[in-house]
Amino acid sequence: MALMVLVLVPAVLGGLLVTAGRFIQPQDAQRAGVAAALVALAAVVWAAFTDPVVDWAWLPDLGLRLHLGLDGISLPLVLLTALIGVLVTVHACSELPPGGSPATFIGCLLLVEAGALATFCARDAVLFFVAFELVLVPMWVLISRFGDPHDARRRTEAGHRFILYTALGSTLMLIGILLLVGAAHTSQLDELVSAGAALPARTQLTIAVLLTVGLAVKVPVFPLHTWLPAAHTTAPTAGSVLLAAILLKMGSYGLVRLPLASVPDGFAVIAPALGIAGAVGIIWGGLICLVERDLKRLIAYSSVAHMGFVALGVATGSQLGLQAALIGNIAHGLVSALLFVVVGGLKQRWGDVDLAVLRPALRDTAPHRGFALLLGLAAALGVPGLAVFWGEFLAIVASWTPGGEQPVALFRTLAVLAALGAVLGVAYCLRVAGRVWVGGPVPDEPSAVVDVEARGAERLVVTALSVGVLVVGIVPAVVLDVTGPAVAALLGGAQ
Amino acid sequence: MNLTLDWLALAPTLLPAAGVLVVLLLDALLPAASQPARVVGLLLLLAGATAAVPGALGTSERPALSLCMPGAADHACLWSAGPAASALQLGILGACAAVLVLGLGGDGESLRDGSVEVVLVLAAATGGTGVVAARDLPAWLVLLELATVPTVALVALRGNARAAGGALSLLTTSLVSFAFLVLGAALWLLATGSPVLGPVGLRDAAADPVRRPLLLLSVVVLVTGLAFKLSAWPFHAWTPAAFTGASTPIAALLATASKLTATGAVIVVLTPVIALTGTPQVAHSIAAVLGGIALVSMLLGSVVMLRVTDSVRFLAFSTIAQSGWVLLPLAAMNAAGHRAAVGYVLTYAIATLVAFAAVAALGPGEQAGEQAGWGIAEQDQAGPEPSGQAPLEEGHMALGQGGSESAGRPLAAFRGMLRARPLVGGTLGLALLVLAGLPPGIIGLLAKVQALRPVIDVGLWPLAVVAVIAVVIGIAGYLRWVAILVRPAPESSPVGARPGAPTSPRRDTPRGAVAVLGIGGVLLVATSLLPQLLWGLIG
Repeated sequence: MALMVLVLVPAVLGGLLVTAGRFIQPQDAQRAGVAAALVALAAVVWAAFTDPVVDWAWLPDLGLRLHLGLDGISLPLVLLTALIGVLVTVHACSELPPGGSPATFIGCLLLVEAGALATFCARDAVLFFVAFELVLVPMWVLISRFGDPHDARRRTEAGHRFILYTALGSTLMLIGILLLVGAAHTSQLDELVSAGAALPARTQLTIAVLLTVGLAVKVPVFPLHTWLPAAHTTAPTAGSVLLAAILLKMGSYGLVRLPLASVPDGFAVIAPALGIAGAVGIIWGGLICLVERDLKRLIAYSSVAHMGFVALGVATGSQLGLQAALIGNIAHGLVSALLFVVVGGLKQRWGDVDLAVLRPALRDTAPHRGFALLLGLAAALGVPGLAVFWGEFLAIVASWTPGGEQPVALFRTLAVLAALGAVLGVAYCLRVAGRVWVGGPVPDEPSAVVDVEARGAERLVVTALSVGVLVVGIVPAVVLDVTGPAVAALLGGAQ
Repeated sequence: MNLTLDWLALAPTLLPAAGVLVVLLLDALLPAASQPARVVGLLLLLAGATAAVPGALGTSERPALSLCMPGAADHACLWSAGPAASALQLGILGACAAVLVLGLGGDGESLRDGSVEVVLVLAAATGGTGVVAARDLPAWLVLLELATVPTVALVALRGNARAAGGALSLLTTSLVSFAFLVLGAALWLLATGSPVLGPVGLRDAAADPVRRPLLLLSVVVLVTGLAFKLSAWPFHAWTPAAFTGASTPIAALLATASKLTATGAVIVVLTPVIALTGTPQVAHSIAAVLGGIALVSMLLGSVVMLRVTDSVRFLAFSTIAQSGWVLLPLAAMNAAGHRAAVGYVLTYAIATLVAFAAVAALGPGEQAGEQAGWGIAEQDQAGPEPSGQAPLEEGHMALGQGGSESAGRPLAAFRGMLRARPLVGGTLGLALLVLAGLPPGIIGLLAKVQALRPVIDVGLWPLAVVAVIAVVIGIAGYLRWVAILVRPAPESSPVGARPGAPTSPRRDTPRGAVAVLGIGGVLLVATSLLPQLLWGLIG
């Protein structure tokens, strides 16, 4: 029941808002959006305590089931999604991008949320794929219609790049899923853990390659990341938040759920390649961040670096590595959401966020936004006590002692590279802090300064995300304790 | 020879055939009234569709059989309609009914000479429903031509130069394909010694090293000949010419009922051949031919869709691309593949009918749009409309010629449709997403999943990997149109006023188009939520 509510309420309301877009007043749409997101959040909390399962035959002729459920791996992500869903709809009360009716915008936000929730709750591999595809069209509308109003051509291009890359990835994943389902004779994720592990090594390898490459596009893992900066730069603030905080997590969640859990032997063969790609992504993202001028783009590249840590954690195949990947997911979701809200607000008011232009110091003109930016940057560079630290630290430790049969020397090299990448993170975060937070002199007359302070709904969102970053950073056990048993069960089942 | 007859099993074909006679009789008695002819035709098509429902809901173990030799086993029946064949009959009759409804609009798009065209549509329905169930070779050939020849006439009857060109290219290709089919039929007879498309003599032929090449050649030649009707490569070239030459309802007939017929015909040929999977030499060659045609068709169609600027041409290349998707699961050479192909083609037919209804809802289009390079307006997001458009439109209205209605329906004419006319825009958008295989068009996505599944299950996954490229290119193509739908209408020329001036009565969406859009839209939404509604028909 709770599971049906948490998927259906945002989906149905989102669909209604999109189809009846022009007949709905903006205020009504905003209220409806927030209400739907709150209902979904309440349903998630309810579901977290009651642990319900929905299992209906959807297409019985072909063995497709509507099977939803929660476990320790999906629960933190479902909570994160519902929380971010509330925050983006609240944020839409203060910032409505041009390009279409407000109801359509909010409807698309809700549809993305519903698709992501369905993806994390799906307990059937084919249903997982369908839910995975569900977010594509609304996200495409968000980018190509509601994106950066200044450059129509770039907006179209970014939207197309997003949807085509992701569709390529997910269709490759579909072939992997169909191969797996065909060979293992079941599409239930729980049964696949044992049925997939029993497959011959060659089959496992083929399936693992298809699944990993397909999902790596979504994560994104270097060198398949090129759609991400364009999408982030043009998407409206709420779209960027959804993209960074939720959509990327669907990829890393899929990596844990499908190749790693279902075809462990095949995944173990290609794990070093995934680890190398992750480490290269960390360094590559860091280097680009050192020279990138557009602040939104810079945060997008820092996402590539952070997701590199997640990929590295998954590649180690050890319990610690998986824990690192899962907490890294949550941490990155909160931190990137915070940074995109802060920077998106700046871009909306300044018109652009070119770091080459020295603007009045943010610490003086907008102390709240300035503090939130500083907190986000500090978290992103991995200050202990803030959320990202645990993901990075544990990923490096896990890489030093990889699980199973993984080549120790290679993974230790990767650990060193990842640590170097973390140092790059310090450098670029301080660069941004220097240009924006410290900034230039503040002109004497107040009228010459653009007011960029976060107010009203936006400040509420910023505060909530800041608290989240602190809580996960100070008490990582809130996440680790939930994921721990599930990870142990997953790896235990795989052996 | 004594045959046992089951009239109910034959009803889906006999009812439209009776319709032909009734309409001709009506026309002889009341030559002036064409409306009763349409109504009678529509009713008989719907009656036939109703008769096909029990077969579709039945099981494949006990197909509806008729024209059976006394005392012989099942395969000696010359008429066998299992669930898949009945579902195709249902689809063909439904599509023909939708075509008649589209033509009922009473505007410039209506059929020119009601009775004649109703007769031709009914004849095509008779042939189509017959060919999917017929098992004896001569009847199969005749019914196939009965399904084809009326479409040539329907295209030509429009009576302008474009229509003549389209009909000519349709006729030429159809003659070539008929030659292939007759050759294939002759080879089949030679190889198996049986004039029945059934298992009789097949195994012996496959086992005999002398007759095996004959059998193989016969199946390949038959499939290649049918590729023409499916608009598959290498016989796809007639499609854009015939679609743009025909009036919109007739183009819809070519795109849907003809494709359903062709799919059924391919399956009739391939069903006995499944039994030969034990003879890899034969099975592998046929699978290779099917897979090759499928991949080339879907890639070719999808790539051209990226550049086409006219909506009907776009749908023509969409048909070519989708024909590849219909053929792909057949390469698996098993019953699951056949079911997947039927499910896919039915999904495709509903979505394509909706798309053509949306084109018809636009009313008579501007002239000669596509040659003038409307691409500028589409490629450039915020680009202004080409300045030549308004005068052209006015000129067309002033002259009032109904000459080339569907020539020049640029995709740009759909700009802002989602906001200006939500019923047309929203349903068309859903149909395009179904064709692209993207949610919310979940039924289209599931159809693609089911089409890939049998291919992967038999180990042909490299074929599927190539198909991935076609999926992505296809998405890019369909999204071009969807992007035009969701784009805000330009300030200068409000889309609601198009294609006529606000005062023009043509501004009203034709009633026939609204009906087809509504029913098609409901079907797409319902099957997306409960896909079993569609797949349950195939058994």
